[in-house]
Amino acid sequence: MAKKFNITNQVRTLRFFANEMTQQDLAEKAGVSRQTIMAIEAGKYSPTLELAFRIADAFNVPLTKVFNYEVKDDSK
Amino acid sequence: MSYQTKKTITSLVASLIILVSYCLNIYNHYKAGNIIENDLQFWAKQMVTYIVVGVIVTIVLHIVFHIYLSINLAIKEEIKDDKAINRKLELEMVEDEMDKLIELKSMRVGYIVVSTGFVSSLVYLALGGSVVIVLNIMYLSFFIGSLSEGLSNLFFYFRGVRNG
Repeated sequence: MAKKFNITNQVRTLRFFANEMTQQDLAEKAGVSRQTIMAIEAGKYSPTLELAFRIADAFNVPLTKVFNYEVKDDSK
Repeated sequence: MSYQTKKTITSLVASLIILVSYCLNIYNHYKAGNIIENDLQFWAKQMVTYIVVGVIVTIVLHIVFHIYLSINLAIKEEIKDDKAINRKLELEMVEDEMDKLIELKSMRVGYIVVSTGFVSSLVYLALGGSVVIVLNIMYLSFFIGSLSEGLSNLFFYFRGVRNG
């Protein structure tokens, strides 16, 4: 039975609650480009564990508040 | 469009200019009857010339691209201070893990194209083909490899890329 993992994130919501932090501000805090933040928000890029921790650190929240994963069953 | 995407498009344009000018140059030589069969020295000269031209064209295009980027930034954001423009440019030019991953993936595509060209030229030679054609297949496969690397780079930026 093939299982797929889908990684979701709350980056957009967390930015909103951080006084509408801009993508550029978050990018600077995490040490990446704005395009990478855009790609992460859009679900087009799954960051490495290191970057995921840096993003969580930028919001001062634990990693699981930013990233989650769902298990999708492909056999259905 | 991000800095990396624009940079890729600039490299693609440079590769296209060199490829087209090489093909046109060879066609003109062919039309003028300057090409002697199996004159390897002629082909070597042409190819070395185009490698040098290619490097120069790429450097010039990248310089022009950076000048354009600075002017565009200064006009768009209405920044008059040189330091502020440089800082803004540096922020855009950040190369992070996603860029590296995309570069690796597109390099793999380019490498596959080049190796396919190399192997097919060897097969062609083994089947009794002309050495000149083999040389040209190898040379052109480098250009096509570079083009496919650029195109796959753009594809990964627009579609997105995942680890693993």
